Order: sequence, then C-alpha cells, then structure tokens
Amino acid sequence: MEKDGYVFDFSDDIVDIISFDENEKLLCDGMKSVDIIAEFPNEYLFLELKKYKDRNIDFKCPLWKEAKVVSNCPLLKNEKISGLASINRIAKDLRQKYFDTFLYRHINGRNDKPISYICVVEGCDSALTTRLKDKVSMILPLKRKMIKENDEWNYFILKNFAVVNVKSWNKSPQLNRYASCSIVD
Amino acid sequence: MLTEIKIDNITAFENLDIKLSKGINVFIGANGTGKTHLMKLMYAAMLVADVSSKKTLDQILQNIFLPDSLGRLVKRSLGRGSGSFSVYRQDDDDTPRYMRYELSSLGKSQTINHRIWTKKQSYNIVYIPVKDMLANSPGFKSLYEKRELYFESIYADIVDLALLPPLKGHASKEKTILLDLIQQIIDGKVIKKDEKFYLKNKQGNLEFTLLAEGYRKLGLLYSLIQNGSISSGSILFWDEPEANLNPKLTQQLVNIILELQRMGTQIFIATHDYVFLKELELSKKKEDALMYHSLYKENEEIKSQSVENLNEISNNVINDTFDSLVGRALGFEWED
Repeated sequence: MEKDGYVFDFSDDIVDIISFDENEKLLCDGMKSVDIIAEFPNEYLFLELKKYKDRNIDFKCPLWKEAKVVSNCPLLKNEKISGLASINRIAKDLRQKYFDTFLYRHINGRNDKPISYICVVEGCDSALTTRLKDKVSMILPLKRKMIKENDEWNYFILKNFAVVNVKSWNKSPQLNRYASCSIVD
Repeated sequence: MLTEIKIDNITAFENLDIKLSKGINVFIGANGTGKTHLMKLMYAAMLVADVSSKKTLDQILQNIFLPDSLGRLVKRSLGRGSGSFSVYRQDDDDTPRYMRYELSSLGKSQTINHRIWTKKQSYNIVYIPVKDMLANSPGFKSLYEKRELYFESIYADIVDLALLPPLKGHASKEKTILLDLIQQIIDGKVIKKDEKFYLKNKQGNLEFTLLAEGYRKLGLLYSLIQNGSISSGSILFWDEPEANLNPKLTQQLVNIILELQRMGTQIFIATHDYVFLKELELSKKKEDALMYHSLYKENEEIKSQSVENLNEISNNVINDTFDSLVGRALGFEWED
C-alpha cells in the first residue's frame, strides 16, 4: 500500500486496510484522524505518517526545541508562512488523532480488538523519535499505565504505542511482523 | 591552516588520510578509534612550525604522549617496524607546506622537509584537554618546569597560555562579541591574580575551585580569547568541549565555536555528544566551513569518512546507539 510517501508491504494475515484519513469528512468538524487502520486477526493497528524534509532542503526538525520549520508538517498546514512548532504541539496532535479516531470507531462499534498505535516520522533520527515517543506516551492511556493505576479496568483504550523512523521500523521484529516499510523514491 | 594529515603505522592507525576543513573539523568515533591521538599529532607538528621552537618534534611527541620510549608510538606489530605521519599546511602566503616524520620502533626518527615546514612566525596553537587545569594552576607551571611531573605536556601548555596577560589596546568587534557571549553565560569576567583564576562579577571574586567545572571550561576560553591565544589565524584543538557541561549550555557553546570559525580560527574537536552534534547541525549557516570526520574500526583497522553533513555519515556510533535504544525499548515495551 502506498500512502503519503510511504510504502507498506503488509503481512499475509492482514484482514483489512483502511486509508482512514480519507474518511475524515465522516468525522465532525474539529476532529482529526490517523492515516491508516490495518486490521489483523487479533488486533488493529492505527498508523500515523509524518514526513519531514531533510536538512538539505532547508530543514530544521520541529522536534528540536523551537526551531524554525520549513516542512510539510501537517501542523503547519494553515499557517501562512513557516512557523514555530514545538514537541508539545506535535505530541498533542498525535494524541488527538488517536482519540478522535478511537471515539469515532467506538461509537460505531468497531473497537472490537486491542489497538496498537504507531507513528512513523521520517526525517527524524532515533534520538528524536525516542524523545517524541516518551512525550506522547505521557499523555496517552496505555494499557500498562491503566493497569498500574486501577486494576478494575476490563477494557483497554490503547495496548501499544511507538514512534519510529523507517530504519527502526524495519529493524524491529515487533513491527516487522505487521509489515515492511519504505519510502517512495 | 592545516589542510591534510596522512598517517602510516603510528599509534592506533595503520593507514589514514584525512583532508581537513579550513573551519571546523569534528572527529567522532567510539573510544579507542584515535580521535585524541590524531589531534595530538597535528598539535605536535604545529608546535615545531615556528622556527624558534626550542624543542624537537621527538621531544614534543614524547612529552605529549608520554610513551615508555618514543618507538612505542609505532603501531604495535610483531618484530621491528616503522611508521610515519605527514601534515600539510597552507599559510597566508598561499605556499603549500608539508612535513613528514618517520619513526622506527627502536626510536630512531627523521623529519623530512623540516625547513619548508618551519617559518619565522609565531603561531597561536591551543590544545584544550578534557580535564580542567585552571583550578589547579597556582604553582603548577613552576612545578612542571622544575620537576619530572608525569603530566602530558598539553596540561602545562594550556596553563601557560591561560596565564598570559590580556592584550593591550582595543578589542576587535569579533573578539568583543565572543567575550560578551561567554560573559553572559558564566555571569562575569575572568581575572587572574598570582597564577590564580577568579570569576569577577557584582558579588565579588569567586575562586575557580568554587566554580562549576563546566563554567571553568568557558572561563578558560574567555582567557584565551582575551589574551589573543585564540584569534584569527589560530588553530584550536579541543578535546570533548561538552565534557562537564549541562546540555542546556551546548547551544551557546556551539555559537561560540561557530563565531570563532567565522573569525578565522581553524578548529578541531573530538566529541561523543549527540546534543553537541545536533546543535552544530542546526546552528551552522551555509557559508560556515565544517567537516565531520568519522573514525571507525573495520577488520581491526581504523578507517575514516569525511563528510560535510552529519546525516551523510554512514558510521555514526552515536546515532547507532540511539537506533539500538529504540529497538531495545520496543522489544521491552511492546505487548503481543
């Protein structure tokens, strides 16, 4: 599957793939969605794809403090000129995308399997993806946190969460079993 | 400025040829890949570039590396061996200069092209070692001169330079900018009294021994810029500038280094620090001269790769470490 500059070659046990952001019009105004939902026999995978231009094309990674950004970062879509993006804004955006998608599907009775959420951020090295993952994890209700805080939960909002670049995705046995990932040339 | 170094069978290196940037040269690589050795060899070569230098290259190398015998600097192998290193330089007169130092494992040496290499000119060559010396400077200079102290000479050299009094006359615009930058970070000026260093500000004078180690490093830089040891045309070797410095200060440190380069100082840096490299990448401008030299082991031999952009390095041990962390974290946290 090709989407937003990425190519995913999903494993054979894939049940269904939805390019979910194309359904954004189904959501209410102000709601956001993840890019892809991949259904596997025992779980759903929510995929959010971000791609930042590299340094050679006047790039400064928005995760790095408050550097000026010239990028196709979706956060900046409505800003007239390249603006300031901070790790907090990106983290909140990733959280909202997950929750809005989760809510929409929950209301429609589609959350019948555990969900893992992966954000693929090309253009950022592993140090930056680690920092972003830690930041977003703090504001997401991950299963392990829910268990820790209250053992009466019998329904979990989010099982796993990861932020990776393409290299880390392909090196990880945990993610590789869902699909291999590459960048469109 | 130095333009190239070639090494054959000396210390950790078997065969190495590195073309250098006229601005900033950043050496990265795992421990034991020879970053410091490389900088020390170039430093030694530049110390004899001044024709009035009182020491021979043999003596300088002995004092800088402190081997049991000079021949130990030849890369260790079975039986007798020999090694050499060549350094290339271009001064303001645009004349390419080059010297080659050959050494046998028995300690016999010869310097080729010594006459061409030396010039009637004093060069400002500075080597800032990892460990701070300013706090220990009182008495160190005289003790080092009179006694056999087992300290690499780079420590005595840096104390000597830092103790030089400030230059007379008005400071140039660039110099004033740099001194102001440092003054803002360390919140004061550096002054010297009887070989002791103090930070002077509104609260009075603070002994360097009571000052945070990271600030001492910037204080040293302040003294070296103030007394002209670091200026346009100088060559600065700085081993792990990030050591003892909180990453919060790295951005300012990088700004200082970039300003030095813009002023015309050639800079050599060895680093292990991701934040330092990232700040450098984000703060450099197109017109800044900067090269990254990655040193890595391949089949037990040290190789190098020189590139202008950080993301072009194929053997970046720091990024590899973060990649490995991501993989391990996923393996640890991901639930089936």
